[in-house]
Amino acid sequence: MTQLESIIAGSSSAEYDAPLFIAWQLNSECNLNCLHCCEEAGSVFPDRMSKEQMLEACRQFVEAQIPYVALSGGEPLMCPEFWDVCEYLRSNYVNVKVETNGEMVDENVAKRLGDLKLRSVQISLDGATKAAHEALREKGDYEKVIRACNYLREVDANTEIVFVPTKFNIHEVEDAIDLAASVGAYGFYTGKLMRIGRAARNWEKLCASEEQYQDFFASLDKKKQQYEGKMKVYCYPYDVIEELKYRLTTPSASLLVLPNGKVKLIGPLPFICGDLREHTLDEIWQRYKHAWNDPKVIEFGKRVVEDPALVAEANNWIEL
Amino acid sequence: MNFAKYVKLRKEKFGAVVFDTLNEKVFVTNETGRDILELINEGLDITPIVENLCNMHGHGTMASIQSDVAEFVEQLQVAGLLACAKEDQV
Repeated sequence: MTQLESIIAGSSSAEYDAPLFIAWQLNSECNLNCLHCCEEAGSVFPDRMSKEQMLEACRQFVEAQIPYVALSGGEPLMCPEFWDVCEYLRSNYVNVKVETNGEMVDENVAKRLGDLKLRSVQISLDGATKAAHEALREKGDYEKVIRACNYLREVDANTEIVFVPTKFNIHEVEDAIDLAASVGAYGFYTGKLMRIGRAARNWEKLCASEEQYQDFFASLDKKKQQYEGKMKVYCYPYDVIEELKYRLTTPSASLLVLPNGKVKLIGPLPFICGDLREHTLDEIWQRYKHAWNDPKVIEFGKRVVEDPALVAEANNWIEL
Repeated sequence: MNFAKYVKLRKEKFGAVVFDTLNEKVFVTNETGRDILELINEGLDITPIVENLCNMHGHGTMASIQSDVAEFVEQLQVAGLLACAKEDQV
């Protein structure tokens, strides 16, 4: 009997010949200075990958038949090699998601993104109002983001809206969902704020109260029903610690690539298990699988679970 | 039959993995399942898939293979992995 077994968001890495998913932070430059940025994006990475190294990485992703790659930053549209990477992956039928703040998506960029037939363009919209969005996204321009969504709709791109709840904007979630629907978004995605990067530094200022979160989840349930069959309303069910706890026993079949080619085990831990400039993808994949059994990783992971404030160390890398 | 637009198939040593990248859901199957998935990937419908499997494996009755394939295809449909109508793969 032939069975199809579903593994929801937890496909363990052990059985696979190669990763199923690559989250690739192409660059660290960003035109904004968001208070909740996990990557602490802003300035140029000192030793980022060259164009040749990036395309070699793409070649290996294609050779290993990686089905799905998410390109982020920083702001990925500020990466000079963004289009080369995107075009290489798409011309080899890799499904690609682009995660952007939307500020640089004008009519021409939208057309170019549409032509690439991406899996999706994910745009950050952190409020239903200009005030909330721009309070969180310093230097951000709310109108530009709305225009970007409309341009993407015109070219039939799959647009996903991402909303990060904080004290500033959590009360606007229902209106933000309606706004996403009004600009033709395919989906609205949210989840609890992650205590990493600048969000960790601004934690007291940003983190919503339990009462606010309760109202938030109730609003999401209501909107999920309202938009059923029209727009996907999805809340990532785990906070960063719950996810880490799960991953310590079931590592995902995915890699997180930094702008300098170094590969992190997982966002909330500081461990680096390889470098695309020095190792082949296959070597990194073996190192990744091995790293989850490293006593240093297990011990640190347990400490983070006991003391979530340690996630703030996630960007102080430790090479394994 | 065809896979839905954002569904990707990859051979693995245990069989195959089907990745619905749009919904970020992963499904795995054994070697027989992989044979069926590869035939679907070629655009074949149930009858030619059953004929191919009979030729490949040469065991089991046509009726039992047909029933297994139909059940497997139904699982794919329920999981939203098959295209409702002809659509371009990306």
